[in-house]
Amino acid sequence: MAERSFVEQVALLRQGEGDTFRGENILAVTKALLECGVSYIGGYQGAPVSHLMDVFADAAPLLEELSIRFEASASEATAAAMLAASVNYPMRGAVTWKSTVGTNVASDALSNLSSAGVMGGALIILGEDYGEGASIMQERTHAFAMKSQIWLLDPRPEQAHIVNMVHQGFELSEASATPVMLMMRIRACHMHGEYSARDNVPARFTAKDALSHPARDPGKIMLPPSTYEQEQKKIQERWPAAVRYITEHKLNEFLPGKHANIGIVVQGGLFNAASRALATLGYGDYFGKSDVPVYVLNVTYPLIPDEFVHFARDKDAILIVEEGQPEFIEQAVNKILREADVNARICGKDVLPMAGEYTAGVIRHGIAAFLKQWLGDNAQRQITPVEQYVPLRQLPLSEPLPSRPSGLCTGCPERPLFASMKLLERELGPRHVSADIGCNSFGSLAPFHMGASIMGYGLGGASSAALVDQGQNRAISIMGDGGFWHNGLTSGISNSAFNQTDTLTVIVDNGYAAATGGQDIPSSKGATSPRNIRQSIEKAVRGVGIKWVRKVHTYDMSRTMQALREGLESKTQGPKIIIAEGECQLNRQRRVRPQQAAAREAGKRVVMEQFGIDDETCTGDHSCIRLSGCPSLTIQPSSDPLRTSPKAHVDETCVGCGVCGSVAHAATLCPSFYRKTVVYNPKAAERFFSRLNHGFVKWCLNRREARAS
Amino acid sequence: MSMDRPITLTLAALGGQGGGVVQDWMIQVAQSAGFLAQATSVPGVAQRTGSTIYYMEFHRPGTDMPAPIMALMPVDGNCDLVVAAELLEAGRMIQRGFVDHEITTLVASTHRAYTIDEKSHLADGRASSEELLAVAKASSNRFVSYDMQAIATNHGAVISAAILGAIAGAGVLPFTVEAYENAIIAAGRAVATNLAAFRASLGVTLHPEAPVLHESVAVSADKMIAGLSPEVAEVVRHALPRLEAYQDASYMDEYRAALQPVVNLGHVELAAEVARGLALWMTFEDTIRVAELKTEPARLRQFLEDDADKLVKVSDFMKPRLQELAGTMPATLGEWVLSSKVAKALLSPLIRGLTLRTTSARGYLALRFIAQMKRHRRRTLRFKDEQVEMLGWLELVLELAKEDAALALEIAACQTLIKGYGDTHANGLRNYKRIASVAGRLIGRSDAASIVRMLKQAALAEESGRELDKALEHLRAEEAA
Repeated sequence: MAERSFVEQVALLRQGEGDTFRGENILAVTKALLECGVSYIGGYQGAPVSHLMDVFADAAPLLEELSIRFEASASEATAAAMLAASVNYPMRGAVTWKSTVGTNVASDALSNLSSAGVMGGALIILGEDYGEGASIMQERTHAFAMKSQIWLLDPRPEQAHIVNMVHQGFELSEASATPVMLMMRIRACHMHGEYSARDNVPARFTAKDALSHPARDPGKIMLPPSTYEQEQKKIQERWPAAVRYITEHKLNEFLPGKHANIGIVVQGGLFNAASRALATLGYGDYFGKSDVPVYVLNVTYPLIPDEFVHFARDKDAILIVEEGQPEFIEQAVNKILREADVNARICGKDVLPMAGEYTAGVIRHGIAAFLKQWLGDNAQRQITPVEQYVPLRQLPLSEPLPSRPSGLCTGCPERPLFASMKLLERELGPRHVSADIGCNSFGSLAPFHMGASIMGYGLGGASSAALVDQGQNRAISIMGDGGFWHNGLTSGISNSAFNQTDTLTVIVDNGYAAATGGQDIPSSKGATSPRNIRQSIEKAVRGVGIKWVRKVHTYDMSRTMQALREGLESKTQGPKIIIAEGECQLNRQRRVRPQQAAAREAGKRVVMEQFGIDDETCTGDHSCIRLSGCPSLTIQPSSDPLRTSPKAHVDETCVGCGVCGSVAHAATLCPSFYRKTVVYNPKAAERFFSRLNHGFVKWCLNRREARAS
Repeated sequence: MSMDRPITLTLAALGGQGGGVVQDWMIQVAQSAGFLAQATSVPGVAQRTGSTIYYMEFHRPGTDMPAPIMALMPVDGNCDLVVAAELLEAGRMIQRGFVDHEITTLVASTHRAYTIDEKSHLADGRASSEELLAVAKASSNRFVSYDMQAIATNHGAVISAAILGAIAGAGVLPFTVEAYENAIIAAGRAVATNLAAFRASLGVTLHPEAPVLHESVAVSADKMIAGLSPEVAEVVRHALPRLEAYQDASYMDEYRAALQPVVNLGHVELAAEVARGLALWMTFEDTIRVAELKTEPARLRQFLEDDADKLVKVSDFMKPRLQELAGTMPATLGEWVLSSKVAKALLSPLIRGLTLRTTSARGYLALRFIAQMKRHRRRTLRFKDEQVEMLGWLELVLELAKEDAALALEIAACQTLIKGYGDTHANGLRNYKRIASVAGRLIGRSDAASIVRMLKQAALAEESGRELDKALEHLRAEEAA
């Protein structure tokens, strides 16, 4: 991590027996890995599991003490392939990423890994990015578990329990020779809690042990006939072993309840929401007790048929609380109970919504409908199910409540890039723009609206591959530097060189994997990093055969526009690359602010800039905002009684990036902007000239005012 | 089964407001009081200008209390204290059902962080704060509102400290003021400013002051205003000094003379609208006016005071087009410049982005040179052009008023389309003229005024004028049918 330090969190990782760990669940999982004797850890950052990677990236000495190999993987596929170490050796390993996007990228390696099976416990920590705050398409990790037979843990979001499931996950993996996924939803990751720490355990089997005695098992190679044998083994040995382990170690939980004729089955991760739903309906308390029996699936794959039969046998109906779609669990339970001749009615998506996040509010409506239907006269109190769950209430406002979409940060270097594109659009007409994942995806939102599709991380380039028309109306692809190194160099750039695809690709070089928190990437330019950084994007691009390359600084809008125009209008066929540089402002500020403060304190010359708008010059047309969208460029009520539209205004959060001035110039916008430069601890000569200039201007002003009065 | 319900706190905050800091403080506050605190959030959402919810539950200390189960998200009917760090977010909390009018105390900061759609509107796209306040009051059991951002700014703190003061002052959570202050002290960051903002905010919640009403300024009994109805006089009173500063005293007489025929019609609303539009049109933003505004003594003086250890420089950004240069020339010369390729070539080096340091002798004198051209303004090309358009507008309004006063009023109000500089101004003028050109055809239609209002909204809906194209096309088709 380039500009942020996680020293405090690393200190927590050193806790041992007798200490009480207090912190976010994701940090507790990070700590739990060290208690399990892992030999290696890898992963790709992304909310909500970035924290795990960030903390380990800063924990080199501790990891060395424990003989743990840590890698910030180039992609999720890299991380998944790292688990190959556990195929032939009894090495425990863990990797992490955001799911389902990361699992998509990793799926090739995951399929092969789960087919070969593992010797050492292999745990995959997944941040399930579903529901409020998610930044990706809404899908379920569950499908990956089913297709590859990887076991899926979905623990109840209580810290001690989650930590226990990390320990159990490794044991289950080893008992069934199968990799295990442990998924946590966003809010569960960020939930604060505590648990009784255990001592860290050094790697039980290290890379040194492995490399000094290389092992090889032909049965684990991904070639026929081994592949056929592996499939049989999965079904005949590993699956039953997993079912046995889960049953014997009671990984799923049964809660009793007095209304024994019905029951609720809930994914572990949804237990808290379901519990609160019951409490607010008067059928439970705030400490997990319930009047209705509850079966908590801390393991959502594989399902345990005997447990379901046992739970449902004497019941009239069970409700399955399963988030997302399709309803894999509900479908499977129908088969399980039918085969066992258990006739309990299976409810689920009939009373709960098929799609969307299951908050306590949502679940409450489903449970209410279920209870009303099945408790009937036995209901201890009147339950009024709301027919339709209303996520948003109507407010008596004359206009709908404005939404607050994400956008680029104050001073973001991508703002002048998208402003340049928008200005060029006015000149050349609209072009097809293929957007990418990363901060740059916000360019597709207001006020820029630059982007017609997002196909995946690093796939901006590839998304334009079909959109070629002999140099006419050339399409533009956007790609971030993070996506570039993740796979864009091969999938987009090299591919376009190979196929001579006639498109323009803009690679945004902001120096970090900025959207995930500012992690280092190969082309990072920071002063210190334990990793090999400062790799040239330009050399990489030329290295795969691109001839047309331009490099611009995004804040230089006239050059940026010139390069874009050239890229779009050039007669040269084939791929064209613009590398648009500009350091991520968030990270720049993290670095520069303390430096500036220290320099000011030490009496050194420090220059700070902020932009402003002259209220009287501004006419309130907001054309500047439509080309910027900077959070610090906002509006304020007009003090002019004749012009009532709110005036543009730069607030105190401005970092003086300069884009306002550039936009005003490039768009021939308006003369309202000014830049205020404050020089702290100026040099003597500078002070002298400033006095001279200011003295002269003051003298002129005095004279003018004297004459006027 | 224990029916003890946790006390819950829901905080809706925006990126940069320090919601996470408030959460850390609150965990500390609760733990120091022996309460069990549980908290969660989705911090990544707030980071990039979005809004997010921080949610906390507090359990009273009890013997043999089993581990409580946290809901992870606020549940309607369970929200004791909901704090919105911005007014619109208060609306969102109500919309999402977290504000219960029997149990919820809602505390909101009344300041606004405008959304991108509100900000980028061509005129005024702001949500109504009055409506939001009314809804908040009606929806909650108790509603406390004040400007927490102003308190934070006054004390050099981030709004998080003022939010903590609001939480402490709301009287919902069972924690002492000392516990809150100790949490700020224990965190050890910006303790002095945070404590000051915390206390100030707490003070407001405990002793809310009656809102200060803006005193209305007495209307001066100027001869120019004599005889006008109060609504029109109010506008004229604001217009006169603007006109004098823009040109000279006689310019006020010209304004009054041009306005009089409309006043004579006896339609107060129309006269007020024309008085407003006429004043704005007569004080159009040419280079001379910009140079004058940029060198206003009141503006510059605030930048000219150097301290011993710091000095200030101010640079203004200007990019005149050929039209602006020509517009400042005498009309005939300006017209020649615009039509001559030679002149264009000669002047092109001047047409570039200028960054003038107005606080230096050079920059100041350059701008004053332009401002001095004020005395020649009436002869400039731009003045001539604006006069033609303005008189055309005035004539049209007078003519329409004879047939349909409501229609005339809407056309008068279309003056608001014309604003900004460069292309923005040109687009606005073009849009106005397109609407004005259909006005005559509408006479006799009962919905004439509402059509013009609709066309104006279309012109304001989108910058390129595509919406107006559509609306005009629709009108044409309708007339043909």
